[in-house]
Amino acid sequence: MDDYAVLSDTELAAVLRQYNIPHGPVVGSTRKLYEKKIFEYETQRRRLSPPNSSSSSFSYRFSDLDSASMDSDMYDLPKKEDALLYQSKGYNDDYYEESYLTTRTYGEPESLGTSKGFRQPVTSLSDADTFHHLVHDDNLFSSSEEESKDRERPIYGRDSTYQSIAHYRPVSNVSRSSLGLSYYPTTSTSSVSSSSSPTPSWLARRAIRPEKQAPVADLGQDRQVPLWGQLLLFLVFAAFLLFVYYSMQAEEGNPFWMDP
Amino acid sequence: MTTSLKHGDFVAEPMGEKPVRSLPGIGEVPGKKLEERGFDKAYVVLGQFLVLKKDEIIFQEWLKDTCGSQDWFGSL
Repeated sequence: MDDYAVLSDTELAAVLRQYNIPHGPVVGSTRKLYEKKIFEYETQRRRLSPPNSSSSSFSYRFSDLDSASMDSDMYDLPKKEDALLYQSKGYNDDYYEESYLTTRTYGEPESLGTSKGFRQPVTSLSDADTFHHLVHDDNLFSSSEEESKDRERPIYGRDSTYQSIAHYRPVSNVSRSSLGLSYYPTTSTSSVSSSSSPTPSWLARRAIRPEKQAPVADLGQDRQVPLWGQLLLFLVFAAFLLFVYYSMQAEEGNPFWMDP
Repeated sequence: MTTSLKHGDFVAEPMGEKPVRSLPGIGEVPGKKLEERGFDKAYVVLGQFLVLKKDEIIFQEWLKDTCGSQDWFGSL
């Protein structure tokens, strides 16, 4: 973590941007927080993809590396991974959005557990679909699902699980042709062109809406019949009261007996 | 003073120059820690919240790191 102390504020911000960690300005009061974020992000990434040590740190730009042996690895692989990761990072925004959803959207593919099940969720969540395609490891997936359940989780947590998934991308490209790899180019272009502002709350709601519209519409149908009935009953009751009122009025005649 | 009472008092009017300890969830100990860091007024903590781009999660993290308290940002 002290490695980051040598970076200037702008360099730190560049790293945050690189990892797609949503961040504000790196000032005195926020610096330590962002350093910690980067550290935890890299730790998570390292933890989730232990066999691939070269990908454990994206800090090949940094002058101070942990060991010389890592240098060569880091220089070789990240160049190739760079393009993929940057491309897949475009998903990140959508992933942020999805991760705030209720796990309902994740529930379906999770329960089915096969790649076929990924097709079933709503098409507006197509980015989530491709995201699911990438996941081979069920543990990984469940961890990402848990993190999506819990809003309180820090963002780098989601980022890291997603990051490790990017490692599987080359493998999936080769082996999973049956999943319809044409999916990737289309969604990647759309996601890359998507805006990079990670404010997922209302976007997530937008994503949910197509799914929830159907059940809500049904409920609306169920409720509409008694609603009109209630209105009708109300009018009948009001008419009854009016009748009673006017009938009482007629009786307000001479209160005194005319009979002498 | 319970948190809800503090919350009510805090949101009832603009924060103005209220000290940081008037924030719900910020009692003696957290307040002292914030003041040590220079966050002596409520608006300074608001400033920190804004610098963190109004991200509640990051802000809570920051608050937890700084002073161990995390249940008051609702009043912002």
